[in-house]
Amino acid sequence: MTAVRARRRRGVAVHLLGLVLVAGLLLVLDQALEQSSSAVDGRVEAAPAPPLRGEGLFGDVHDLEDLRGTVVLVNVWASWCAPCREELPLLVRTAERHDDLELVGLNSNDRPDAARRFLAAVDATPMANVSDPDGRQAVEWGARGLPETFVVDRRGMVVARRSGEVTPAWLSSVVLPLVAP
Amino acid sequence: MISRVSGAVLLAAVLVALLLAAFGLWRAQGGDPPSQEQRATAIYESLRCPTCTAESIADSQAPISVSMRSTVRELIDDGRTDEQIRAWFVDRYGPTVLLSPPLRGFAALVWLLPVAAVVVAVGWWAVRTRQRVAPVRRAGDHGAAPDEHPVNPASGQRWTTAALVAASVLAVGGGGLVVVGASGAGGASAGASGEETRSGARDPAGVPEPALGALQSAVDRTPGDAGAWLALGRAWDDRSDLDAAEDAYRKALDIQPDHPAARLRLAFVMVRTERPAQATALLRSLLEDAPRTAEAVLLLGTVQRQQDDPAWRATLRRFLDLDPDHPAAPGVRALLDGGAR
Repeated sequence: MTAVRARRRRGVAVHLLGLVLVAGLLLVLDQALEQSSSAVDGRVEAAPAPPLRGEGLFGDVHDLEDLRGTVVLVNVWASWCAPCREELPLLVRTAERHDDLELVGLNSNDRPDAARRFLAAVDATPMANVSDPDGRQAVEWGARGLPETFVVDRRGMVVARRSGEVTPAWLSSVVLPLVAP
Repeated sequence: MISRVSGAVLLAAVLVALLLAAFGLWRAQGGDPPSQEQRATAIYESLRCPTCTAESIADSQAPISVSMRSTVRELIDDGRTDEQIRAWFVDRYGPTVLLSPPLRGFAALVWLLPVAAVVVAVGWWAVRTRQRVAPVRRAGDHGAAPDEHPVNPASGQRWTTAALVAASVLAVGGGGLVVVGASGAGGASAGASGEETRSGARDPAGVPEPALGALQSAVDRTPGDAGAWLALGRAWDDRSDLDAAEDAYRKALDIQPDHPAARLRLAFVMVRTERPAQATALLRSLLEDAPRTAEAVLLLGTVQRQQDDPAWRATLRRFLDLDPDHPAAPGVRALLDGGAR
């Protein structure tokens, strides 16, 4: 009988060990899944903004560096991006309303003529943009998709970002508190 | 059922098969150095497409994936190693951009746990089998067969057990070789660039660090672009080559004399090369044009303090007014409070 009980105890022990291993694996997977939740929305750990410099859509040239000292919204968009059509007028108006707030667009993976037509359609032709036809500047910024908006503070640090269309609520809760009244 | 001979044959066959497989894998990894395209493809397959579900950028047609692929090719042309390129993406997208979890840290458990599970499972099976096989000899056994296995069952089972244990050990070893090979291959075939710093690392001064060569060619292409000279100057600055940095900053200022960042950085170089008077003059002219540049005020105050100019207090207080949340602010406050008593 002792042999049987010993065997049973050993079997239980091994089963327990198996359960522990499985639990451990699930824990690790859970961690990984948590980290990979892609949509970021709001404040992030401040990090220096990547460079953003280049020709715009009308032969103009822009450099994010020149705007150091103001709060800048960097908005990644393209003419084929439907939510961009909705949010661009909101962004332009908000930036116009505040002296301390600037808007710079990053027109990524787009054709300049389509982009210009798009700007005309949403009444945003005067907007400052940097043209990024091969999307490499968007990758430099870690953009996961379009639209994506980054908030750069006066020191040139990215302090907030949003994946997806910006809303007035997001602007007032995340961006405007950073802006001088 | 399983006899001693066929158990041994099974073991031998498994060993040979696994040795060949492991050898083949090793050759595939460590054979001829991979070409640029092979390296590129291997890197594509290790990077996650940010807008897809569990897809690499290798095949994804999403625009961001296309851009990421072209960035990978540019970084390869720049002379970065595979490790540096992956690190570049991790800097910008976080560790989740890597499709296979890293080998270090907590995530190493993802590799180790399945292996441990296999070892435990095999060990348990072996123990169970031995128990099942051990003949239960009782006094007064009436000649019934001790168990259902034929003559010499124990050694047949033992061979099979040994074969399976060897198989799992070799599978683990082969897997290890693949993993090691994957992280090592392509790392050795870096280009001419002898950079030791992590590619794309965010240095404290603020911007990711493109290859010096790329910046040099940028200024060669567009020598009239002040921004390009500034970027080159920054790169030299980061490598502590202040003479080259100063040269580049001055060229930027030749093109655009009121460039705010170039003036500030040149002033900083002057401070570090013991030319406080020149630095002060430059900072004052910068602040005339852009009085709210907090960092210029900070640098001016620092220089004044170094020179025992009593104006340093007022200057640093002005800095705190301009940017109370600046990372240097607490240090500056401590400095000011320290003397006030």
